[in-house]
Amino acid sequence: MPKRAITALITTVIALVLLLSFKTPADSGAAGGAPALVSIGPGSSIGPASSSGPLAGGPGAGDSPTPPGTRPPGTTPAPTKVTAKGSGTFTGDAVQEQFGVIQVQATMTGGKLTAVTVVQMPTRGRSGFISADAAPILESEAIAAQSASIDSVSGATYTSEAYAQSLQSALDHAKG
Amino acid sequence: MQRAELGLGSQLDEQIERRLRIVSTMGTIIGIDLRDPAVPSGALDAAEAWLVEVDARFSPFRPTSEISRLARGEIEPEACAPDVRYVLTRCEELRVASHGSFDIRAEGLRGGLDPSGYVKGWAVEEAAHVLEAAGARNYVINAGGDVLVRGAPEAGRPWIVGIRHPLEPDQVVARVALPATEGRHALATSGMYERVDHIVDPQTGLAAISWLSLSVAGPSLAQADAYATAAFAMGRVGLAWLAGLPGYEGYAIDPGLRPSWTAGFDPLLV
Repeated sequence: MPKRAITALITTVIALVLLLSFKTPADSGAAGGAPALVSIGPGSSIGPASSSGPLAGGPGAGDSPTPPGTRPPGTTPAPTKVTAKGSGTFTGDAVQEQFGVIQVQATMTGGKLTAVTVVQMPTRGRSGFISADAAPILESEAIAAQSASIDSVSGATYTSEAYAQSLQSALDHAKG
Repeated sequence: MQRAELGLGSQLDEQIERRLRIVSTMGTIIGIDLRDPAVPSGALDAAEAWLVEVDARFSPFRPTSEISRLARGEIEPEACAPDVRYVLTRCEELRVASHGSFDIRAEGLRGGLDPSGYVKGWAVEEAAHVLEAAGARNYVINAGGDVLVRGAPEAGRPWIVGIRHPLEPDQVVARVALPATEGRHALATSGMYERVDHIVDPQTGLAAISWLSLSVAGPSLAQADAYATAAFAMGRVGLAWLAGLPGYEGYAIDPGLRPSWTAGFDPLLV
């Protein structure tokens, strides 16, 4: 689909622009441009305490997926059942999309989805900080599972039909 | 269209009855988390069927959709279904209210007509109506990061929705409590997370990069989504514009990861 190609191109360009433009957050002063009716929050940057900068946790260019069980594109692995039904790590199908293969693993604990891990993904997703690590809903599930005080998450990440298909198959495996 | 239904237990209380339906449609993933055990699963089926139908009829990516046929000039707006005309009318109102920053006919949009920025939220609100007609009063629907809630996740506390960190997708930067009273509440976020083509400022044709993300809270998801898109495209003045809209509040994160929010957003932060 040409639209996807255009989207990817624009994504990459803007990601590059941002990476080049905002390496030093202190340079982009906010005080002068703040609208009058707006409360400015605490001056400190937001983010986890371990973060050394705004881009510290973003997927870096050249990162490669490093989960166990990476498989050649196009193969459909057998589900990996670790423990009882409804618990364990379940590998979804490798699904081809325009820019490569997407494959995810779902980690279930007692019937609950606790994590979604990307086994394979196109290079595109790693080239900018537009993360391909998870689709919004199910990653929201994973985040919510880690933080007992959050029910859902606003703000999408990378989504694709291929991601959904792979995750779907992983969940199907989990249901047994 | 993919879907999965899981009997997920709550992290807080294993006894909480919870049904999660996941629908892949409209180019995204929509999750319905229903906390009312008495509501029959048929209501979830009906809500899902509605969302899939909207995609078929409104998608600018589907050559046979009414939107695509309108864009090609094959049909006139008057010949469209009443809900298509309703959506087009609402989008025009939003274009005027946002001084052109929300524009479904902006240059560069697919086919020259793309109401997706309104349709998704509207479709989710209608799906919520389907659920409510079957008795649902406590649910959260997350449509690709745009969230609509009603009621509460459990007795004694409101729905808490995190705002995703714009650069670290497994982190949240703020927690928003959506009141358990007064009907529905929405939280929509526009940003650099994905689909950067939808945040090009129609007035300049340039990508809007004053904010890394901008969230809007308010009663209607369709409105909140459109307002978030428009305010994001407006850049620094977007939050001030939002502050003047009754019933809607904004929270934005700038490229230095500094948050700003409208005064009315303050009580929502927990």
